[in-house]
Amino acid sequence: MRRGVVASVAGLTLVVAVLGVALGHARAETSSADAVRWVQKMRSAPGRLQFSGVVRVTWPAQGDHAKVSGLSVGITDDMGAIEVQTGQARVYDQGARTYFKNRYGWSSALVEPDVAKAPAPDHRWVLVTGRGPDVAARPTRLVEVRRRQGAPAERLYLDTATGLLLRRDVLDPNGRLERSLSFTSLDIATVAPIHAPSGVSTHDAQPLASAPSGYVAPSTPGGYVLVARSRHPNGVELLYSDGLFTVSVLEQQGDLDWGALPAQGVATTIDGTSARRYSLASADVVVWERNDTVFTVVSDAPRDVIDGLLTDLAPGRSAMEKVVDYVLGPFGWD
Amino acid sequence: MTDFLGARDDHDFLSGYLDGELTADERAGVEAQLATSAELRAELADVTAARDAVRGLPRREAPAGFWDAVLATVAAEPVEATEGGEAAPVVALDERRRRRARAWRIAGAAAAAAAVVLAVILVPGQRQVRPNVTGAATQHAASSSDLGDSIGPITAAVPLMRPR
Repeated sequence: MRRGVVASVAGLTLVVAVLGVALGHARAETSSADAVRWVQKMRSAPGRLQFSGVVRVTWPAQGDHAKVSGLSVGITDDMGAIEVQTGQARVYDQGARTYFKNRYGWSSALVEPDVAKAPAPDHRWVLVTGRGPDVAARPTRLVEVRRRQGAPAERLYLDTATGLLLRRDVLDPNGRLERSLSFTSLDIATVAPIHAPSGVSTHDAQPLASAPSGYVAPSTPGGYVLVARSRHPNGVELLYSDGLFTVSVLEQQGDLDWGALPAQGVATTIDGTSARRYSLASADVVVWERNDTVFTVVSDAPRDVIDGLLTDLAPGRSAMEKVVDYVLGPFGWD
Repeated sequence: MTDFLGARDDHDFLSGYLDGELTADERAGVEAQLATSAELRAELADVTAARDAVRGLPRREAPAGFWDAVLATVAAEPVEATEGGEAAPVVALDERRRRRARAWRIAGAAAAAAAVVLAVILVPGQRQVRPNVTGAATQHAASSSDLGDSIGPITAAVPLMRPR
């Protein structure tokens, strides 16, 4: 009798545990699927809407945070185009083609990535949704992007009515803000006229089926998926995605001219190799040289995520290289 | 058969043969010996290879002051008038041999040094790469936009480098 009670209790406990795990798993999947739908809605919103607004961008630079306000944005579906302008810089995005303008004029050098190759938004992230705060006086839906360990990596605040992204915060593993973009005002259906750029110089860029000899192009570094390869006049460019964040890798063969790099940025190392890191409004840029190839990596992902990718991009150095670095390290000039 | 090569230094004849400087008789004599002597043919092959290697080297301008230094050295050599009235160095036979041996050693060392210098000069240097940091960031924003992040280009339009 007593043995039967113990067996019953144990069996009941086991059933409850199994059900709990199953329900918990199902609840997580349901939540993630809902978040994925919101992300997909967010991505299609600009093509369905006409709006303009003012955006505030915040990002760390030189140890503190710089804020840029008064950035005007005009987005319309007339041509599926987005135009952003501030100072001399200007971006015009028209469906499958993106143009940018700097002091040298308009240019476009992109080989369009194959969107079908990009992984799902929850490829490497756990997505959960919840109610968000008002942004630009509009109610939002919060999509929190979590690392597998649980720490949030990004928070997306989407306009509840339209799905439009109103605010995006990128966070480090400790929850500290790394980069933020937020509309401070938004006028839907109020659009300044947009004109396609003229006189655009298109650089020669050819899609590549495989990486040329001498270039590094791992297919899945750091949990990312390679979605595009192209050859430019000055090197090979790779584009990676993990479903939410993207990474661009430009490889150029030769010696890195450290003296020609912008003065901003901080010295760092990639697997023991000297590198320089820049924190820009849109992304982090890391530049280094290895085996006579100069890598320029750009990503909007949190810094710890980028670092995981960089290590995979730069395969381990030989013992001899480490010895040489150790001996010559004190005499480095960078 | 006349042993042409015995009358002059082998290298002189072979060089003259390669340069087309021999008389018809001398040339016929050399060719006859080449036909019968494997050793001579091997020697001719060596001389040909050496000449080709030397001629394959790029021409380089002598460094500034080089010829002035050579002329100054020549001018400093002790000379004595010859029968023909021309000035020429006068040295004993043994001394001449020693000088010749020393000259060969110096020439050998100079050739080795020149080879090293040429190797450094001729090895194709790596081109200097100057990454466009801001351009790369803009490109990246555009690519992100194409992958569905339509708001991405907004940040690319922000002044990319914060003024110090």
